[in-house]
Amino acid sequence: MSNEKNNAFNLNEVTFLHRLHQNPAVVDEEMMVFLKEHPSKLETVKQAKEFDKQLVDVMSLIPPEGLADRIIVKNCFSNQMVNNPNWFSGFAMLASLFLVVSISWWAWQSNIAQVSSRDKLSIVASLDNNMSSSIVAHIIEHVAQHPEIMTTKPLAVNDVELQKIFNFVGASLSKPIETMSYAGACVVDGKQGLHVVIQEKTGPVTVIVLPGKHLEVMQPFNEDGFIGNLIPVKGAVVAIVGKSEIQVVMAQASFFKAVKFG
Amino acid sequence: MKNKQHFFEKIVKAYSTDLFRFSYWLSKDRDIAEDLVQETFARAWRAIDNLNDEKSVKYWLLTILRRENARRFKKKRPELIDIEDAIVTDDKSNQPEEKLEKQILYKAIMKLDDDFKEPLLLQLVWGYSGEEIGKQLELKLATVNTRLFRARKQLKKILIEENTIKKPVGGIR
Repeated sequence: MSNEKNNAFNLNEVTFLHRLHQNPAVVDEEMMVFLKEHPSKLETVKQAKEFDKQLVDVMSLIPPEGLADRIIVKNCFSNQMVNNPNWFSGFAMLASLFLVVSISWWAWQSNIAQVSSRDKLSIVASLDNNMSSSIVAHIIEHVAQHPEIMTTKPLAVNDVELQKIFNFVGASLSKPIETMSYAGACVVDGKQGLHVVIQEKTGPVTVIVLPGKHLEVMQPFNEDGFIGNLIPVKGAVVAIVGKSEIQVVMAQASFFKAVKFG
Repeated sequence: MKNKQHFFEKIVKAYSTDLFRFSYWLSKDRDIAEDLVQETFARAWRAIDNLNDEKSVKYWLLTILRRENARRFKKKRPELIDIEDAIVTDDKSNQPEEKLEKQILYKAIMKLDDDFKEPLLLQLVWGYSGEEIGKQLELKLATVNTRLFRARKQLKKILIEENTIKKPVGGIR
């Protein structure tokens, strides 16, 4: 009888359940023996594993955009300042290298997971080129008409208006972006979006949010002297555009630390 | 120096996400969680020359983060955040019903005592064994196992109280 075996392993229903709920992923030899004798408990094991799966799913939060980038840039940046009097060139090189590596890694990972054919890749690339061209064209046009938007000056809109502008594109400001000098609605490719200017130490950086646009992976671009990234977020694409990679990295960090999508 | 930076980048890439998750569930605040992770890696960077054994990096980083969190916790006890702000909204695959279930589970994890939450996070997020959890938290294996059992029991109790499940799932008593 099964009791004989259970006694031999000293495992009854209570101890079985205790052991199961300590770690449902591990069903050891003694538990296997118990399950053989009590097949109805297989369902219990299945439920316990399912519950853990749900827990892992909820616990696996998405970290803030560019968290790893910010950690590396911040720490290596301090190091460059201490060790190298000509720190800026070193920092810029490091940031550039890091950006290229991280973008390549991200693109590679995402492509493995999400893109199965070369055709699809080329279509995506072509769409991205169109998007970046439209954005750069918009920035050039907007700056030509209103050069004052790129200058350092206090933000002309109050907090309530600002939140409304962000809400319109499906975003919200969880804290102020101290270096933001301009925020307003804009039209890119016939669609309304958000136009933000962030003042970095080495010059202004433009952030354009295009709701309803979709991208599989982050795409860097370099057009007409503008360097930038197209970044997929929930329900939109964010373009961060500046004149140097370091500007873009720093503005990207400030923007995503303060702005939430969805 | 090059090797040091390379090693640092490697550990940041490898562990920043899991450290953020661990930190978030303890601090219940995304900004504080990020600050804790930043501080952890800042300390790691300063002490990286002393770290010879790559295998102990994971343990070492988590120890720094837990100390930083304890230091912060002494100063101010964080408030529970609004469930609507939950990060589960970031998941674009969420359907309304699924999203609601996730939010309820999210809330239940938030309510879990830290003594139970920490070992559960180490097991489920960090993939630690009972022995590794014991080493990290300086607890005996038997204590770890009891806490893991009680963590799941407490979660299910909270879910039953929230009327989300009619009876104990998985036969926990």
